Amino acid sequence: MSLTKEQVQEQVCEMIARFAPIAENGIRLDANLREHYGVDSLILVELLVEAEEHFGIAFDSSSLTDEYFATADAIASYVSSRLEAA
Amino acid sequence: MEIVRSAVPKRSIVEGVPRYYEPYVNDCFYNAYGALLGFKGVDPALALADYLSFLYDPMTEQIGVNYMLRSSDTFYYTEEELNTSLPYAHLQATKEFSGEEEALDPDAPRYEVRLYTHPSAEVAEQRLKERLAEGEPMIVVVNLYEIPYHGAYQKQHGIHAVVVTGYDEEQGVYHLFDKYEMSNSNFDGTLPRDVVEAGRSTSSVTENPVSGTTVRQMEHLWMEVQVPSHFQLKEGSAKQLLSESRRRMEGRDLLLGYPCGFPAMDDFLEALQAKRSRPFDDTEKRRFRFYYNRSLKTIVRQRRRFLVFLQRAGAAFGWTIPAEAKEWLEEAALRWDIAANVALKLGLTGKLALLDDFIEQLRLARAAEEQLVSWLPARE
Repeated sequence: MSLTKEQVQEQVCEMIARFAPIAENGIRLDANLREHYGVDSLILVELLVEAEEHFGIAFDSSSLTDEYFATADAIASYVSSRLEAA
Repeated sequence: MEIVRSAVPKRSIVEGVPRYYEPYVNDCFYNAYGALLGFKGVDPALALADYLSFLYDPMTEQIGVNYMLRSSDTFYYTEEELNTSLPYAHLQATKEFSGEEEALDPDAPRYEVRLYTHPSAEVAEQRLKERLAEGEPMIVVVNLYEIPYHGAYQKQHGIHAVVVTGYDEEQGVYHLFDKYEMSNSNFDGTLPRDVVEAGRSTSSVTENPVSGTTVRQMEHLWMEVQVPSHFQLKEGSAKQLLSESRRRMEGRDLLLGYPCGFPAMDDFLEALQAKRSRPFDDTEKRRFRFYYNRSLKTIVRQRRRFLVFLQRAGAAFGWTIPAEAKEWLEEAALRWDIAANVALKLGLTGKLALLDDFIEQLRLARAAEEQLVSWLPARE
């Protein structure tokens, strides 16, 4: 089943909300994950591991930094591009 | 020996202590040193500069920069252990406070960090008040398990350095700050005296998934930073820091008995290659998830701190720092950072393909640092 970009964004935001220490008001796509939701690099990597399983994709190790995946939108765009390429 | 007590006022607050915090500074201790150095008019970006290096111990598989990164069950470090890093500082061996004021040579080339312990709460508190009454903020070490503003409160033990800036006997409080945001600390206010005392005296028991349980007696550990009145961060010692960094990275000497720099990195890479043909068991997963991830993050911060030093020293002493030097260091820090994250992912998933990615990132870090080191001056 293919997912639209909006569906991927929605699922990524739900996932972040489960992992983030601060997520009472939901997750904004463009907000910095560390600054707004307390997602440090430890949480980010755990989140990406779950996203790999959930979407059936693999994140390239050379992009594995919190600068690269600074927002929910960055993660969702990466996932969408991987799903399209599959 | 009985300790002589001076009379102290009922209240004393030291104003103007900078709430220093930089994410690239090694840890909460160094950040606390930065606050006290800044208070004394010394630029922490220069004074907290450190040698570039890398350590690897094939026996324990531990790594480090200028000392090995590992859990310890004691605060009693030797002079040698304490002085392989921070070339502008002299750290005295940890000792029990005797009550005697130690003289400071006004012409000493390095600022001094004195590490004291005392089993008596009364003695430790009296010393803290005396220092504050003299207008000197003090670094005290607390067990986060007892510190209510912290997320670890009543959940997890851990030692942590905070800066105390005052006390008020009538209100029964200490004024302190803790701006180490890396561990989600952001406190600036007062804590009851009893809470601070509990933090300074409750043994810290940490369960390390790799090295096991560590129990540290807190013994009211504290640090006093003394800056000689004629202290200056001189160009000669900044240059010496660069040439010594080159020497360490080239592995010219042993550091605390270990090979360092590129030879150590090569040994580490070789040991990692050997892991490809062995089962990646739970011990390995824990090692990568907990130990390598955290230790490599320390290396990332150290490389970023070295870059800040280069830039600040360049501005202070009129050096021309080539753009490439900045790029090499940024590239190295990026590769160490990715390696740290890959280590965590490898530890979480156990997917051996990630070991190849880990090795690749370390090779890229090494290559960038090789370029940088070829630019660093050799010892004259």
